[in-house]
Amino acid sequence: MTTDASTQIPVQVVNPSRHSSRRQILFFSSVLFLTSVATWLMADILWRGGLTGLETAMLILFVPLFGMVALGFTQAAVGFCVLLCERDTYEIAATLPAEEPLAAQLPATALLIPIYNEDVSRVYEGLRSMYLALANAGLISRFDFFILSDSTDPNKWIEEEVGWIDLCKQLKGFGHIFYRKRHIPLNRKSGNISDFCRRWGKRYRYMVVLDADSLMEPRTLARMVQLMEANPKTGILQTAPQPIQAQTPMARMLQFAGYCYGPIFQAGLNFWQSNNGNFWGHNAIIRTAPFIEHCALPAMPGSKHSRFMSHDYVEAALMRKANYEVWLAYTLGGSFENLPPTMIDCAKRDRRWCRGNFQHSWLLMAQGLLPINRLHLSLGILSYLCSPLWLIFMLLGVIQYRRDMLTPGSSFDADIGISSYLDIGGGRLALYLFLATLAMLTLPKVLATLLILIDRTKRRAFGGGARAVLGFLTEHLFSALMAPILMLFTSLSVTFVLIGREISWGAQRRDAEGIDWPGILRAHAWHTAAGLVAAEVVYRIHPAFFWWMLPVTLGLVFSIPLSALLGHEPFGRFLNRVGLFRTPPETAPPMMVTHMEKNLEVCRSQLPPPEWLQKHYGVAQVVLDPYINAAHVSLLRAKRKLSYPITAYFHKLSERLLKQGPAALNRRELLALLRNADSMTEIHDRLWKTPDRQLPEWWKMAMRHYNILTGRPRTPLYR
Amino acid sequence: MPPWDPVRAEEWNDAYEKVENYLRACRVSSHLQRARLIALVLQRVYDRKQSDPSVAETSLPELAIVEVRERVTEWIRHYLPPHADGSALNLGEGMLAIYLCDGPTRWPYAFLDSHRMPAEYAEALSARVVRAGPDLAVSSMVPREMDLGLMPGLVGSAMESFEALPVLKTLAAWLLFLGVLGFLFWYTR
Repeated sequence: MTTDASTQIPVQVVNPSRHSSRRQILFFSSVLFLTSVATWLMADILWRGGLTGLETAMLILFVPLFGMVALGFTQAAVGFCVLLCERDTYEIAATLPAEEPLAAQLPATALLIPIYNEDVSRVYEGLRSMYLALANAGLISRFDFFILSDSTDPNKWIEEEVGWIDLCKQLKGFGHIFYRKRHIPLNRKSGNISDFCRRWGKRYRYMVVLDADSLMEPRTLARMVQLMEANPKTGILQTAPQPIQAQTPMARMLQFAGYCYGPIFQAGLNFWQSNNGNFWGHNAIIRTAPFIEHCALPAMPGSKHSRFMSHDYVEAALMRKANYEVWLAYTLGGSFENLPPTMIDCAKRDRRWCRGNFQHSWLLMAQGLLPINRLHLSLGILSYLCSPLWLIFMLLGVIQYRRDMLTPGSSFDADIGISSYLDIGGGRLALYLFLATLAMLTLPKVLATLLILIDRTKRRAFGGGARAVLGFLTEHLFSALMAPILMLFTSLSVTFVLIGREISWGAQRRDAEGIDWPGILRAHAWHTAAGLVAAEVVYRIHPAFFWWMLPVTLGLVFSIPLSALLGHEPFGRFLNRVGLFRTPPETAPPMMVTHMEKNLEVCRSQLPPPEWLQKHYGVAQVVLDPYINAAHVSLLRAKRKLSYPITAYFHKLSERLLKQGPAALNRRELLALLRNADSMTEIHDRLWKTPDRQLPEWWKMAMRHYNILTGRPRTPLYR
Repeated sequence: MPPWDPVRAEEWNDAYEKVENYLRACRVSSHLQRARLIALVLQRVYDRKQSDPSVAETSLPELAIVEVRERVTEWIRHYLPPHADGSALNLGEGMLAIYLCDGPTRWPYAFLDSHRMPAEYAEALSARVVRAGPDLAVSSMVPREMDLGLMPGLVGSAMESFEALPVLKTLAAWLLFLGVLGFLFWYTR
C-alpha cells in the first residue's frame, strides 16, 4: 500500500495492463476455439459433395453469428467463475479498502444532468433525492448539480425553470444546483456536455454524467471520486447502472434480467477489457481536464459534418488514445436508471443506438486508436448487424431445406465427414449443433440463476429460490417469443441506417402509460403478417418443418397481444404482488428510491390544469404570472440591440400571441418569443393592461383558470 | 372606494376584477388582504383620474394595473438596494426577489403593506439574487485532427457527392435493385 499525498487516500498499487493482455489472449482464444469448432461442424453439415453458392453464403454468415454467441457464452462463463471465487483482483474498486471513510477530502465534482423534453417531475425529484442523500452524508459541499437543458418544447422549458427555482428554494440549493438552457441544441447530448466543459469544466476536477432518469447513492459518488483520486491514470470510471421502478411486465422482466444475469456478464466483461473499458454515456465519472483536452468529438465525413450520436464509445476510445484508462466499476452498486416500459419503447431506443453504433464504422480504421477500442466499436456494430444476418441466415436455411426436399436422393443424411465417424448422419449432427447453440444461449442464464440459488442472502433478495427459478423460466420463455420481433425491428432499423433515412432524436417514454393500441397495431401489424406468411410457407415446404420454425413464427404471429400484455401496467403490478421477477431493490428498497417515489406520487396526485390549458401551460405561466415572467426574463441573456426587421418580427409574433392565443404560433415561433427578454416583458405588460373584454377567449379563460391554480401552484415540485 | 358612478360602474367592475386577478397571480391568497388592497388601488385610480388630465383617455382597468404595479415597484424599492450604478430596481427584479423568498406564502399579510412588514421578510428580500450558474471558467474544447484512414476518406467524399447530387443516390439505388434482380435471374437458372 502507498499513499497519495494530495488526498491521503491509501492506494493499493495494481498494474492491470500487465495481466490484461494475458487475460485477453485466454478469453479470445476460448471464443475463437468455440467458433472454429462450430464452423467446422457447420461446414461438415453443409459440405455434402461440395458447397453450393447458397451453402457458402450460409457458412459465411454462420461465422460472425456463432462468434457473437460464443463471445456472450464465454463472457458469462468467465464472469461466473469470477463471481464464484467472490474476489476479482482486477476490479478497480479493489484499489481502495472497502472500509475507506467517505468524507476523505473530496475534490469539487460536478453532477451533470443533460435533459431533453423529459418528465420534469421525475428529473427534479431524482435530483432532490440525491441532493438530500448527499447532504445527509455530509458531502454536499463537494458536489454541484448542473441541469443542462436542450429542451425544444416551450412548455417544458418553462416547467424546468419554475421547477429549478422551486427546488432551489425548497432545498436552499442556490449556488449548488444550477440550470443552463442552450438555445441551440448543437450536437445533442455530447454538445451539451462539451458546452458545460467549455464554460465551467475548469472549476471541477471530475464530472459525473447522469441521464435524466439516473440516481446515484452518495456512497457510490464518493467512492467514485475516491477511486479516481487513487488511480490518477483513470480517465473514465463507468458504473453498472441497475434498473429500478419497473412497472410493466416488460420492464419488470428486463429489470429481473439486469439483476439476475447482469453481474456475470459485467464480471466477464471486466475480465477481458480491464483498463480498456467503455463509456456507456451516463452514471460514470470523468476526469475533466483530459476529457476537455482529448475527447472533443471529431466531425463525421460527409457534407453535413454532423457529430457522432453515440458519443460515449468514441469518447472512451479517445481517452484511451490519450493514454488514460477506462474502467468498469461493476461492483460499486448504488447506481440506478429506469427502463423503457414497452417493447415499442425498447425498439425506439434500439433504433437510435443502432444508428449511433453504425456511425462508429467511420472510426474503425482511424489512426491512433487502440485495437481493443476498434474491437469495442466493431462489437457494437455487429450487435445490431446480427439481427439482419440472422434473418438472412434463416431465409437461406429455409431455401436450402426446400431445395433438399425437392432434390431426389438428397445426400443430407449421407455419412460424410465427421458424421460418418460418429455414425450419426448430417441431420443428427445439425440437430446437435443446434442444441449446442441453444445451450450456449441458455447456459449463462442458468449459471447466473445458480449463483443466486447457492447464496442465501441473494435468494432472499430475489424473493426466494422458487421465485428466482420461476422468474428465470418465465423470462426465458418471453425473451424467446420476443426475439424474432426484436430481430425484425432491428433489421428494419439497420436497413433505415444503410439507406440513409434519418432517425429523429425523440424524447423517450420513460414511464408506463397504459396500452397504446393504435401504436401497437402500427408497430406490429407487419410482424403478424410476416409471421403468418412464414408459417404458411414452412408448412407448405414440410409440416414437420412448421414445428421446427414455431419458436420464430409463434412470437411474430402473436406480436400484437404479446406487446400489449408486456406493456400492461396493471398486469405488471399483479406480477409484483405475486413476487414474479422480484429483484433486490424491491425486497429492500434503497432509501433514496423510496423517497423519490413518495415525492413523485405527491406530484402526480395534483389536479392537472384542463386539457386545453395543459397544452400551453408553460406559455400561459410565463405570460400571466408576474413572478415566473420575472424569473424567466432574468434567466435570459443580456439584451442586445436588435435590428428593425427582427424587432418587427417579434412584434408581429407578440400580436398574434395576444390576439389569438398560443395555438396561433408554432413551436419555433413560441421558442423565438420565449428567448427574447423584451418581448416577454412587453407581452406580460400588455396582457395585464388590456381590459378583459378586449382579450381573446383563450386568454380570458386561461386567466380565470390560472388564478384558481395559483392557489395551488402546479409546479412539478408542489407539496 | 371611489364614489358610486352608475355610468362607469361596468368599467369600475372590470378594473376591480383586473386588480383582483393580478393580486391572485401574485399569490395574495387572503380575501381580506386582497379586498383591502383593491380598495386602496381603486381609490388611487379615482384620485388620479380626477387630478391627472394625461390619463383621461386611459381605461380604468389599464390604469388600475398600472397603479398596482407602480405600488409594487415603490414598495419593493423600499427594501431592495439600488443597482451598483445607482439606477433603481425595476418591477421584474422586485417580483423576482419576492418570488425567490416565497414572500406571499410565508408572510401573507405583508404584501404591499410596509406597516406589517416583518424584519425577517425585509432581510429575505434584500438577500435574494438568482444565479443560474457559477462564474465562468472558460476552456477551449476543440476536436483534434483525426486521420480516419483511406476507406472512410473515400467513402466520405463519395457521400458528399451523393448528398450534393441526390440524383446520383437514386441512380445507385436503382442500379442495386436491378443488380439484385439480375442476380436472382442468373441464380435461378
